[in-house]
Formats: sequence, C-alpha cells, structure tokens
Amino acid sequence: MTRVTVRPDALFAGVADGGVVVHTTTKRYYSLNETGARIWSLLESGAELDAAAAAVASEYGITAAEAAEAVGRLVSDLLEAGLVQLAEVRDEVRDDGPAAP
Amino acid sequence: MYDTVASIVAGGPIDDRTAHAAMNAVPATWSHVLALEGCAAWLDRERRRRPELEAVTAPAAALLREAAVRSLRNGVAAAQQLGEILAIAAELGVRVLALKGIARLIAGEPAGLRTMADIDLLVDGPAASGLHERLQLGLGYEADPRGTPARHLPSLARAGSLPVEIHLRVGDRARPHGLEMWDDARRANIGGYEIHVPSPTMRLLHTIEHAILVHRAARYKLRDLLDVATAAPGSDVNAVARYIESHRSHADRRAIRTLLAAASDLPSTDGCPTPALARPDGAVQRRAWRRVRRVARTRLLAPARADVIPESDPRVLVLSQIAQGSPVVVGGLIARAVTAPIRAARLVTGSWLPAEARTPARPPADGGLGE
Repeated sequence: MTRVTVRPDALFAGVADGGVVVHTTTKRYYSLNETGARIWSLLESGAELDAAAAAVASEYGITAAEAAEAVGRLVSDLLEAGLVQLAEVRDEVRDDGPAAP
Repeated sequence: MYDTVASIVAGGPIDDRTAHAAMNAVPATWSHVLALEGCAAWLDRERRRRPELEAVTAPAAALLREAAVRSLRNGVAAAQQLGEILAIAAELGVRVLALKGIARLIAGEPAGLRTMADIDLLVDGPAASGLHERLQLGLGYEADPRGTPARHLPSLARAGSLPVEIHLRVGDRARPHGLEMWDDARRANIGGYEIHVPSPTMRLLHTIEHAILVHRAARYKLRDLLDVATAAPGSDVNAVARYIESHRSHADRRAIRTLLAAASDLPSTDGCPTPALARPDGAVQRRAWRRVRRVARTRLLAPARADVIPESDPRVLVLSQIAQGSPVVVGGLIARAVTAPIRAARLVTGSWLPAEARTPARPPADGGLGE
C-alpha cells in the first residue's frame, strides 16, 4: 500500500475557497481549490490514496475513477513541488521469524 | 518548561530531566510559556523538522499547529490587505514603507514561522493622516484610539481583517544621522503597487528598538531574539555599534548587548547561524543567556489568568522589570508601592488590572478566512 505523507517543510492553512500551502525552505506558496484542500486534509490525516479517493468520490458525488484520477493528479503535482513524499505501508502482519521445524 | 522552549528555539539538545518535565506538562502550562515568549509557530516548524521533538512537544502539538496555521493564514490575509492599501496610497501619491512582520514577509521570510498580529506601515510625513482617513472611508476600516502611542495613528480595525497601524515614526527617540528607516530602503511590488522595504541594517535596528524600548517592561522574549537573529544577516555591524552607542542609558545599552549576544546563538529563518552579529566570546554569550533566562523565568512566576492578556499583565511586567535589575526601575516600583500601597497590594493579588490587559470579549481579528 502507498501512503502520501506531508513533508516537514510544508505547512497548510485552509482559507475561504480552498487552502494555501507554503514550502518553508523554497519559500514558494501554492493555492489549492476546495477539492484540493480536502484531499490535502485527508492525506495529512494519514489516509491512504485509495481511502482518500473513496472519500472524495462520496463527498463530491463523482465516480471512483474520476476521484482516483483527481487524487492522483494532485499528488503528482504535490510530489513535483516537494510538498509531499511517498511512503510504502507494510501490511500489519506479525513477523515471528521462521517457523519452528 | 521555559528551558525546553528555549532549547528548541536555539536548536540545541534537551536534557532528559527537562524533556521529561515538558512531556508531562499540561497544555495550559505550555500555553502560558508560549503566550509570554511568542514563538509557538516557530516551535511547530522545529517540531516538523526534528522528529526527536515529537514526544517532548506532544502535549502542545495542537497549540503549536494552530499557531503556525494562524500565522500562515494571517500572512496571506496581510498580503491581500496590503494590495488594497497600496492602491489607495498610490492614488494619494503617498510613500509607504513596510515594518516588522509585513517587512519580513516582503523581504522573503515565508509566512507561518512567526506570529503576525497586525500590518505596520510607516508613512512619509504629513500624508499619514490623509491615508489613515481614506482607509476608513474607502476600505471600511474603523479607527480604535484606545492605547495609541504617539508614534502611530489610532489602529485601524475591520471585521475579518488584520488591524493596520500607520506609523508616523518608528520610535520615540531620535536616531543618529544616517540610521533613519528610509535610508537605503529598497522598492518592492505588491499587486502592481510600490512599497518600500527597509534595508537589512534598518530592519535589525528597528527590531532591536522594538525588543528593548517598546517591550521595555518585558524584554528578552524568545520571539524578539528570533526576530533579531533573522534580521541580522546582511546588516552592517558598524552601524549597529553606532546605534548602541547613541543610547544615553547604560541600562539600555547593556540590554541591547544582552539581546544581541543571546540572539547570536540562534539560527536565522533558514536555519543558518547569524554571521552578521559580531559573535561574542563564550563567556559573554553564557552571561547573556543567564540574564535572558532569569528575566523569563521570573515573569513566569505570575500565574496565568483567563481574563488577562499575558503580555499586558501588570504582574508579569513588574516581575520582568525586577528581574532585569535596573536600580532606577526597581527604585521606582518601590516608591510606587510606598505612595500607593493599596493599588500595589491589588496589583500583587491580581485584583487590579488596567483595561488594556483584559482579554477582549471577542477574539482578535484573525484574517477572517475561515476554513
């Protein structure tokens, strides 16, 4: 599973019609529309990409494919801007080492 | 708790005992320290950058994040408001210079690192009152004359916006020749309109002036130290020395040197050391920090009260001044206690409060850009 985490340099604030993100190292500002701000909040709260897309589909009344595309496109832009990073999430299965003979 | 906050601001390690106390402190204790030191947004940035701080600052995580988000939102609101203000200033042909937080933003500091409560502008000459009036008539600001010092016109407030202060001058004392705010100011463009930004040296001198003279009763806040550290790069060490010598009061000169010595130990906004400050030797720096800590810890002795703005609490201000140890100030406080013993007793017990120290019924304007 892939999770997108917010980089430590990025700070988000919701504003009237969306949100604004500042990259405190590059000192660049980015604006997000309402949907983008919602996706950011989902990712920041730890939602995985599939879960974020499902939430967007449900809240905005769009198909799962459209939501997945919207989330994917935004994440791609955010990655390019250095505002988020990808992290592989391991399934929570206990590893007790090799089975006893 | 203060030691934890100071260590984080200085970018240094936190010893186990101090860390343990911070981890087990209730949010109200954090809130009390952060309200007096004014560096919550900066701490949030450090918390995000340094994973080892996560556990230490855990009880304050929500407070820190809220301060950083508010700071970013206020920075965005300030830029929008400034565009409107400069359009009117251009119509009037008025020259405007940015001060303090808005000057730092225009100079390139990212929003979200420092609290920003208002927009401070210096306006050239007699045009100030004309601009002040037009902002009320044209943009719906209302003048609030309460507690207005002589150096600026009554603060301009508007629902959902940051207050605006039009300054007539930057301080109550004359600056030496060649150290005026307009000297070497550079021009910037906001929304197609021109604004002046002080040179690095003038930004540093104004920051010092604010920290030592405006905040005379509560010096050495960590926010002020950070402001000095951030303003220092690129400034002229000789001009700073000349500025220090222009102060007649030995206590003020000593306070400025303490501020500079302590601030030279802090990183600037970019996390770099502050090379433009003449770095004092280790003993001087340790002495400065001992003084800073003594003053800060002493003012923390005044317990927090929900109905009092911490930095205007007379008990905080009196304790700060006693810890600063100026004989003139301490003598004055003793004289007042003798001549007005009832008021002194009410001050000590917290039952007397000046109007400006009371928490406003409504929270201050916060940019008005709701989530």
